Amino acid sequence: MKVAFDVAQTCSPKAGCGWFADRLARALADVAPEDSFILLHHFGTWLNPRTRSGTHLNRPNVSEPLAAYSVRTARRLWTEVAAGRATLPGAPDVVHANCFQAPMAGGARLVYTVHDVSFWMHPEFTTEANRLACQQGMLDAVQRARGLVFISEHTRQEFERLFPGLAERRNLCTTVALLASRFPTVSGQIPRPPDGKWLAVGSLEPRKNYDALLDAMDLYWQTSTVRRPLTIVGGRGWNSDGLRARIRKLAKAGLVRHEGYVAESRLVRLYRESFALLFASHYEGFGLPLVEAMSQGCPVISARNSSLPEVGGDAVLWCEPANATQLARQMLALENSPELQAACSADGLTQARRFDWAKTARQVLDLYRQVGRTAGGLPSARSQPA
Amino acid sequence: MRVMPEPMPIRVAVDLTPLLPESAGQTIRPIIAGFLRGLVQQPRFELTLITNAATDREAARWFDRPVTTFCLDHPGHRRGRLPFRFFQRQQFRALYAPFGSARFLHSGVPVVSMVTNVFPNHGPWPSSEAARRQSELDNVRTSIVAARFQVLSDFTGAQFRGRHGIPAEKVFRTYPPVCPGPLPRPNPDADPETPYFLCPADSQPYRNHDVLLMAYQVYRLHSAQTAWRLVLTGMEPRRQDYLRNLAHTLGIADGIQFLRPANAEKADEMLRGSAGLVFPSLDETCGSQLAAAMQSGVPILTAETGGPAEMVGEAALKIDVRKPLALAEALGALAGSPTLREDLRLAGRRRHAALSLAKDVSRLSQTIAELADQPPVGPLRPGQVWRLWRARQDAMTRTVARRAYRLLRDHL
Repeated sequence: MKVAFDVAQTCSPKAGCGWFADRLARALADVAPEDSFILLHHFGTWLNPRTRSGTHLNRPNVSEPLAAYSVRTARRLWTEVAAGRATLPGAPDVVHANCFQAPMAGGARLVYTVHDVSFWMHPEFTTEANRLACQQGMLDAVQRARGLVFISEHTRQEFERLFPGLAERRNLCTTVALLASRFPTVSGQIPRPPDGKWLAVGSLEPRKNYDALLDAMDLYWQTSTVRRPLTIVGGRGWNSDGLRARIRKLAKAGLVRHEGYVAESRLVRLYRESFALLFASHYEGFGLPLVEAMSQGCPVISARNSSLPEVGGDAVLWCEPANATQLARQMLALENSPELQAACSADGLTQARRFDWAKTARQVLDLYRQVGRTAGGLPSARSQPA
Repeated sequence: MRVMPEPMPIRVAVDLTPLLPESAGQTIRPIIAGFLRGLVQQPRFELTLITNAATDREAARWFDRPVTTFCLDHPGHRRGRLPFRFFQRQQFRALYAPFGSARFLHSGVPVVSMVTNVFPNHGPWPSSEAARRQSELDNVRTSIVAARFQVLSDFTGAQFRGRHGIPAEKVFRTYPPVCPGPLPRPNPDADPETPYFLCPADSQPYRNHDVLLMAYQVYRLHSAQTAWRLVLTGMEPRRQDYLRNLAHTLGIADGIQFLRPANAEKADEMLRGSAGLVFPSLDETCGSQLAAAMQSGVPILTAETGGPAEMVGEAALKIDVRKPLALAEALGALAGSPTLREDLRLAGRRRHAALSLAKDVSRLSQTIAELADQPPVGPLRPGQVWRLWRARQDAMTRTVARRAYRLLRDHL
């Protein structure tokens, strides 16, 4: 089987969606040496001026025909494919979209990754441009895709609430393909520095609920005798001017350090050296920082909502609701109990081992094969967005 | 006894040149016609409509008495242009530009301009980027030349002031004319026998039809056999085709009807016949159909922000229309609760009674009269000319810069 795999989002600084595409591409190439994979570094209207930082795999069953394309050439190709005048290089059987877009894929069957539906559930946390782009991509997908990949069971259920019975009615193949840690799970508990800091991972945007997190830190600093500072890792998101001003003020007092977007090597070190991960997000499609922290034995305190209970299981100290008081209470409880720290760390390692990229890749491969077997032509070309 | 001489009427030029037979401003036409009818009825004004050949007859039909019309395309006139001398010779004391265009920048008389749309920067609202840019340039030019700005809602007024730095005292709000509107239903307190939701909106993406279809799909599933139909009107064929496909995918094609009413009377008839008006448009200026719906006793479901929310006050079910599930729930509530519909009907009538064309026309006429009393402004001042030139250059520069960026990006 020839699978064209969208890695367009891996060419810019990667967040959860980009890492999903990157790690899944690697795992697919490993677990299915008999299949060939065509990595697409430009996808639909997601065109990258530079593809060097994107996912590149030097394997015999992987080709990267678009990696050297300029934006103009790539645009021309996708326009031609959409108009039915050309096919994608390598004439793939299946095209797997990972960047919220669902372009016309010529004769190939489209598989679409549903990362989350937060833009419909909580539009207040995103920008209008982003909301409209995601909405258009998802609506194109429900008309064109033959298979859907959900990154968590919660996302699948949310999709079902929004499109009740659609998958069954349109005979769509679906699977839940869970993410896993990018870092190998440590074999046992590793000693943590006694003055370890709190860690928060995620871009600065309203959905991540940093305001509640900083309020919780204020409460914690008032009560704690240790007064651990906070390290924030994550790029600059949207609607975060007020938040960044607040972080700058706390940074001057030496209580918060914002490291921005960091390399994988730095992130794994932070997971290993930090006292615990704090995750107060309002809504997630999966919650990659949880599984990554757990894989490095880092205890986790998290909001209990959306897909997060599915990821954290019983290994996380939950806050419900994720307000400042609850968070601060859990932080103090963890700090004051070495037994709780050890239990969280050990349970986290066990929980993290349940997530595995190879297993996820095999599930996705099964889906490709199901999609390949489905009968019938592609949906009408009249389904172009107006 | 001395008889006071009648005061000389104020001569006002009305720029109707942007009115074109198939222009997008189909919903704004009745609003403008309503205001102009109100002005014509006032003896202190003498209106001269500056029109084009394509629509001068249509404009003349708006009035029940003859109104002086000056057709710009008439043989002998310099096509599309009117010199400064023309406005002096005609002794105009004000220029009313209800389409918001700043075409006669050199008229030398104070301009009252209506601002209909202020598209936000953060979303691809109009059908094309070119349309958005043109609208923005028009608004910039208007902001430089006009002395007063008429807006159809405080929401638009705030957007316009914020974008162009206009002082609050120069902006005045008049809601769309509420009278004469469609006649009430024969039995306005009863629901129609075959109830349907009506969504009267054109093809612009900000009308939010996609989310409405998703919501309708969820609503239909929960309401099963008792679900109301959804009637969509006013859409161009291409967009209609897309939405028809989407409806087919969602399995709701049999519950949705796309209609294109032949004329305004038919559209009013459909509105009066509907059991609920659904208006999920985003960042809307006013929503002229809302007044008619309130008058006709049609319950309204609309967005919780923007001009419509402001206009209907408490007389509508208001929700965050970006959320399909919230919209679906509201559709279900409206269709499933006769009490809610009755409450909305009553609230609609109360709200409609509070809106007054006379009051709004009086605000407009007062503004025009105040400006007319001021000394003529004369030709454009050098500062204005400079700002107009800069606005045009800015718009052009942005276009050129965008093209250059794309060119470089594609070649590097």
